[in-house]
Amino acid sequence: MRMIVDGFDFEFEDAIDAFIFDETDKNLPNYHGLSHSMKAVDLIVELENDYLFIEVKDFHDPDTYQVGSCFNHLRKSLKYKYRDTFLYRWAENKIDKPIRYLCLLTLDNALITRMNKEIRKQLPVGRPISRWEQSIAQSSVVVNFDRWNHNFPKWSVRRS
Amino acid sequence: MINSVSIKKFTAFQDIKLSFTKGINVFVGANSTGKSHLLKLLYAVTAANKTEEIHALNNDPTRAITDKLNGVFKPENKVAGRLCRNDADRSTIRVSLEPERTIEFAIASDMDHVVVTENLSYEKYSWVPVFIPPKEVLSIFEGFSSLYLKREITIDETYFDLSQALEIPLLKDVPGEKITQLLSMIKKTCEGEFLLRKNKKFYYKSDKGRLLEVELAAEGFRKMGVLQRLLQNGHLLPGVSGPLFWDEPESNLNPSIMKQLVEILLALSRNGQQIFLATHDYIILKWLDLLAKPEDKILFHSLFKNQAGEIEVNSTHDYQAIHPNAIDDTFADLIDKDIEHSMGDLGK
Repeated sequence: MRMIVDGFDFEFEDAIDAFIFDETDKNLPNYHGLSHSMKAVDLIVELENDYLFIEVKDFHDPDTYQVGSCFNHLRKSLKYKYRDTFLYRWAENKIDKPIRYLCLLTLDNALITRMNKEIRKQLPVGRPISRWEQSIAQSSVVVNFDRWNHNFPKWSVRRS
Repeated sequence: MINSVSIKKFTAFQDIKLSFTKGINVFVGANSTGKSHLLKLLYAVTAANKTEEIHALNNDPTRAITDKLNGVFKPENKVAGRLCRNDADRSTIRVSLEPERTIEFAIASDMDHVVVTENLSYEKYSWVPVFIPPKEVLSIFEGFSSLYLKREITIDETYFDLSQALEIPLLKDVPGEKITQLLSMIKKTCEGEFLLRKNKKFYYKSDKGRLLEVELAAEGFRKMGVLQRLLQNGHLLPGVSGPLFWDEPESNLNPSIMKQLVEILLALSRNGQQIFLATHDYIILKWLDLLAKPEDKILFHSLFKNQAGEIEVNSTHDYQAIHPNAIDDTFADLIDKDIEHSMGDLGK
């Protein structure tokens, strides 16, 4: 199943369904309609046993994210995109499989490592306290273009 | 300054050529790709002609280069021939220096000295280099020079040379505003300064006025203290002294002061100091990338082993184009393992 987002051309070999989640075209069936009040990830992919929430960002100047304020802004943005998407899908009654959050960002490997840790803490991933009976995110990974293709050969991506 | 080097069949190298910038040259690469050997070789060649032997022997640098290589590389029984590659009968080194000086020499595996094969005014190259080794020196300074001269010890000559340089008395006046600014940057980073007292021991005096034995000062501060002393006594004088070689400046340095270290290196470079670094540290590389101005001259040399196991080099001014990048690859391995933990077989 082929999807093109933000200059990236994906092919999901094993997807049951895949669609642009933050669709802005009113004439399309997946029109989001609440973008004035809710943030949204770019793509949702349905697999046999999981959903993938995918956010893609191709930065013009990745070095700006070395700076604390830019890094924190990006972290917050990624967090709220996931949470609002989760709420939206909950209201659609579509939280019927574990959700995995994938952020494809054009950052270097060291910064990716740092962002991974932050996002997992912030979402949060898993069941961080004993009161939770279920998790809002099964797992989360931040990757760059090279690491994506190395680790996910069934979901290959190239620049469109 | 050093313009270029060509190395054939020396230690780990088969055949390699590098050209350098007059600014900051950064060697990166996995272990055993020859980073430290390169630094030491370049240091030995630029330091050898400062010895008195070269002039005593009618400007014949044979003995001086041989002795310096032996001191720096410590081949067994001081047989320089042992520095040839294991499979080679002879190695050749050619170094081009500015202005218009060249030295080329060969080492036969069965000989205990080098043979100079080309000498273009090498003995007139007068810029004194500085080598800062990975281990900190201020705390072993007391008595080290005399120990080195009297006993056979395994520590190489770069430590001795640095101890000698540290012992040079201070200049009466700090040479200029730029050096004063550099010293002030170092003092701020170290939150104090290092003093060599009459008992030939270094002490650390904090900004709060407390005087501590050097052993009690943070090890990272002590490394910066070496720079401070060399600037204060004029042994390191940007634009006048020879190249500064620094092997693994990151060792024992807290990552939080890496930024200041890089700012100091850039300031030295902007004042005409040629610098050679060997590093494994992402933070140093990244700060160099982020803090450098377009007019700064920084050249990254990525040393790597090709499929045949021979060392090659890719040199680039662009941080993003460093390839291969052993430091980045290490982070990639971590990410891959992390994804495996988080995603299992999904997407495979």
